[in-house]
Amino acid sequence: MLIPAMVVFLLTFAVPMILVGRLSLFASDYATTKFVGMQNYVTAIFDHYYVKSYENAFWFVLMIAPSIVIFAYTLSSVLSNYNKKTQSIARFVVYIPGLTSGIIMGLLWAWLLLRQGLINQILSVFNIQAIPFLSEQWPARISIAVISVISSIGGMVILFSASMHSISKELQDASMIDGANRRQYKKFIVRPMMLPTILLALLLNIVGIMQMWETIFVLTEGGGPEGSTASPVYEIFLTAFRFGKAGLAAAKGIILMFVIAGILVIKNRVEKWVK
Amino acid sequence: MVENSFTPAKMFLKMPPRLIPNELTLNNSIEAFKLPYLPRWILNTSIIMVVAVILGIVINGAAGYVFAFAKYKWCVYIFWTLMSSIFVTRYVLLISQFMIVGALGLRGLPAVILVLLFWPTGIYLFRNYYKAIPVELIESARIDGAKEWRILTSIVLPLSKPILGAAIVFLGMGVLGDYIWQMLNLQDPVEKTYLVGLMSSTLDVYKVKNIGYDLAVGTLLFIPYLIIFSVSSRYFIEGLTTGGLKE
Repeated sequence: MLIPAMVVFLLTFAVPMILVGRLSLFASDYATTKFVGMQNYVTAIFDHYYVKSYENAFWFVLMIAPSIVIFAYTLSSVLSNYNKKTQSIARFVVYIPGLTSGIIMGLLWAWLLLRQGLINQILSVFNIQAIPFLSEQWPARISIAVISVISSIGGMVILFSASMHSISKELQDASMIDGANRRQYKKFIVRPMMLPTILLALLLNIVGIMQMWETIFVLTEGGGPEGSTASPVYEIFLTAFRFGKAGLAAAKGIILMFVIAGILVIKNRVEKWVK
Repeated sequence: MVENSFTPAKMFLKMPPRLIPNELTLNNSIEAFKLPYLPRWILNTSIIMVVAVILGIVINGAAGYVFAFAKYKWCVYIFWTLMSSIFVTRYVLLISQFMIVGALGLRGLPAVILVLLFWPTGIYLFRNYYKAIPVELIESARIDGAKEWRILTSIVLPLSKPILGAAIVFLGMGVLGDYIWQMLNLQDPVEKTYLVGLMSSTLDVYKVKNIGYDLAVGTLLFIPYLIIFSVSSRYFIEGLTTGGLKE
């Protein structure tokens, strides 16, 4: 019964992994391939736009990850006071933007944020100068960050609600008997119990930010002003399919994988240290 | 968005702009419906969706079943190997997946389906869900002489309605949202899907800056999501958060 899953795993994951590893040692523009050894990795590390994409990701992480965790935590904490039906409806509603394809969300946001878009038109009624939401470095970064928060908050709310739900009722009763009020219960019992989930949420967010692609593609084609909104994955996409450097893109991809693995290791360290 | 897709292009340029258009037109939507291949694109998407959802559930559900109930030690190793792929970005593998699909001669719709079938998150969800089913139930069926596939179809499957709802939503969304892979593989207009086809039409019209048309397309693209939401929202959250058997 495992065989179908294994076949699909090999075809779509294991073999491609090996091929990418091999490709990263070659200079390839799809038509011709030449062995160059580690040259691609050196080029990638000194590639201005590639390094910049990590800088972008760093700023995105600073903007996005804390706000998602705070919003999602507060929201699921508030939701836990309501009955089951309200909870599942609310969770579903906040989850909808996350389920909808990033391409469609991108079209919708483009309509709001373009220079002739709705928000700027409303501002112009009050004679306020148009805000360059997508055409200058920081406004563009902030717009992308806001969009990303809105579309990934739903999944995090589900994650937090599920793990809050799994804290046993006895703990609450015991703390109440010991004379803790509701605020103390949340601060001293729920928050420490939720810490592993919060770390997991941070990790998922950071990995997700490295992989942002669709909104960037629709809203700031080509990586935005001076490549200041391109995520690492989008930069790899540009290298592979716009500039046609398959080998270099593969090397960049492998580096990205190691970066993500490094983040995973750090997360595990932090988790152990906290315990 | 829905409202503005019915607004003619010139309304967007009016000064001052108004939130509520005073002239509604269906032209933008009609323009989209006039695209010669639109019915074909809808058909393609439906085919992909049905095939990918059914095969995806069979493949990943069976794997989840094995990981939940098999007692061999190597199953655990295989399970974590499969899970490790969650953390590898899909986009890194695009080029080589593209090469493999080419080498197998699977360009076009089969290629689009193949990539959707490996779904580690799904295996994980199925496994967790099935773990909540009492082992005694499975073992008594084994003692009665049932084969594993038989146990899966006649005992486990009837118990797994919520998780199936969640799987249909996730796989269906996967089909609808997998823009980059579909865009790379489907160049021929006859083969395109709903998403790629309509998006390519907006990219052409984009130069005219008819925002009304873009939003008409956005609205049209949103319809399949509404259908999926309304069909299976009931099962969705339940499947993600509850276990196999209710007490």
